[in-house]
Amino acid sequence: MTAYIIRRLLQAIPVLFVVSVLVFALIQVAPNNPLAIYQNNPDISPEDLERLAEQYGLNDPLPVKYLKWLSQTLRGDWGESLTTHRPVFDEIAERLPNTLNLSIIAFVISLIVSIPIGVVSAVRQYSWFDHITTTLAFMGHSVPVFWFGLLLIIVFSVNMQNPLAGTLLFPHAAPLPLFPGGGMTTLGADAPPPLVDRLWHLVLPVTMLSVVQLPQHVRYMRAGMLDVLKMDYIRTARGKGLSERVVTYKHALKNAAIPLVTIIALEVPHLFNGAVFTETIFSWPGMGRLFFDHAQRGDYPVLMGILMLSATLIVVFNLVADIAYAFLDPRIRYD
Amino acid sequence: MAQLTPTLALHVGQKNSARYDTLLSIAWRHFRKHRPALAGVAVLALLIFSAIAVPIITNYDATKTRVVEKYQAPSLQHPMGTDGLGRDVFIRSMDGGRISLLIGLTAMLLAVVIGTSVGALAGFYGGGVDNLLMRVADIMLTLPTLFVAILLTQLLRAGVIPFLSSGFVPIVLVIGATSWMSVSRLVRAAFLSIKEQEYIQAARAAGARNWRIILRHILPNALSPIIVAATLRVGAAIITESGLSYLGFGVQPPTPTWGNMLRNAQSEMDYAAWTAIFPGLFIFLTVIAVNYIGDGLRDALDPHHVE
Repeated sequence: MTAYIIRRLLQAIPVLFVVSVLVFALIQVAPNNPLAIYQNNPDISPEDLERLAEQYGLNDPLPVKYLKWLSQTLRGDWGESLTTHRPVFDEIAERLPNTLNLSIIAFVISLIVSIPIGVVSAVRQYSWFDHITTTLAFMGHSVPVFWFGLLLIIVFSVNMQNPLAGTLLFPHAAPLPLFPGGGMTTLGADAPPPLVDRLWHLVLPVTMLSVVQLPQHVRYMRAGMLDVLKMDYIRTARGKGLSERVVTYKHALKNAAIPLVTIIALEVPHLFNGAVFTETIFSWPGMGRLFFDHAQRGDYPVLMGILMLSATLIVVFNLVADIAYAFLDPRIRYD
Repeated sequence: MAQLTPTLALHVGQKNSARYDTLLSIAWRHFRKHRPALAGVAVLALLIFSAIAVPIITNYDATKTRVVEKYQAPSLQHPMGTDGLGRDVFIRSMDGGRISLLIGLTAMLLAVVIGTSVGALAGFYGGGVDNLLMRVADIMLTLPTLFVAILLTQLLRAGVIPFLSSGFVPIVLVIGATSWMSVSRLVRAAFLSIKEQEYIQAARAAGARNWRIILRHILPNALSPIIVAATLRVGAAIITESGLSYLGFGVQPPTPTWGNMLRNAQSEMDYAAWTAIFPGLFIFLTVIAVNYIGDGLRDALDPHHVE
């Protein structure tokens, strides 16, 4: 197993190298000028711009630029943003907690809700409960995420009022939306107590994100359970006279959860990427927004930092998923 | 599947006297029983028909602004209201629908053609070719799709590559280039198992060349998973198109698509929620119809079920 892990990690190095070359070229060939923000500034002359471009190495040929970036990164220095002039590491470290805050809560809620639904749906296959959940899962799978977010705002933020407005919890006088349609905290006076305020702002974005993940989790859990319930050892367990409860929740559930566990491992990297749509709609200052904003400015050190971080996480968690699979299912062996 | 046909046909033939059933008629018989899929076909047909017919019949210039009529709530005259420039949301949705559907179909075709070619070559030749092509797919899967799509759109729009920078060409290329990987894995798996079958050896012994074996003997037998994947890709492509357009990286206004109609919707929600509700509803309806059709096709084309 150790040899397998080492081999996989070694294989990852060329993959990440090629990814970095490709992404670097992709960013560079697109005609975004990081200095564009200065172009309309009358205080900055064309000579200054040229000097800045020279200073940042923007005039270097592409391979030189890439090698500079690579040697810097390999030494552990992620470089400096060309537009905010802050270290890339700080930019990411500032946004990552916001993104994780949102995505982990949504992910956990999605799992807590989907596992029991998937199990019951499989145990009572073709019952009305199963029909309703599979139909809902199908619909959830087909809904455009950002539109669902817009609908949430229309219903809960535009059309519903907070009944507690003006009380201790929500000092702001009515009319106050039931849930806010954007931001992470209340700005200005009359803010609710910090914890309440925080949770209050999380409700809609978390709902949007977890509803996106729910259908897939339910499907996996249901399919896994259906597969296992057909197995001989389940029949054996029933034949031994064990109660249906023990058979379902002790024998079947543990094995049925294996596919879900690997899916969870594969989804972890995406918790870090941030949800561009959710962050855009709810003006949430996370990783997705960071990428989106800097993509339009051609700020390649920041973009490379985000992309390589996420590519590395994807490679690592692919391996974690495979290891988890072998660990949970002794029938699977890697050599 | 090819080997299953005679048994199936014989089985059916006993009931239907001497009629010899083709694969198509067997598939249709199964598909017909899948009610949601039939409903999907009906909804999709209606949407396609109205997307073509409504703009022609109403003869309404969907790009012209009529500021005096802006933000009118849904009424008999404007069944889905008007937007901030006084344009009828329903007619614009039909106009945009034609473009969104077209983008969905062409992007799917591109993804399926790339995916099938890559998967077929990798599965058929194996060895070094397989290794190289599948590493490329791995690398594509290692990148966050949306991020790459955004960068790629900027690149294409800038006109770095001539002829590919205008209209809906960039978005089709971007969706195709970022979504062929799952198809290629599927096709590769099918090719790997089919190429070991005896009839392939027979074809080889009869002197058939490689490309003939790939195109005439393996591909037709790998067609059902490809058809199902292709159908589901249409839905996925429409969702991706609308998402990218929503973020401002898709087809540019004034040409409407379901995605870019929603672009300003958030700032208008307080007083004109209909501009946010209806275009999204059309995306939702289309994608769910397409996905149910895909579901029905999966059942219908599955060779393992015999009545």
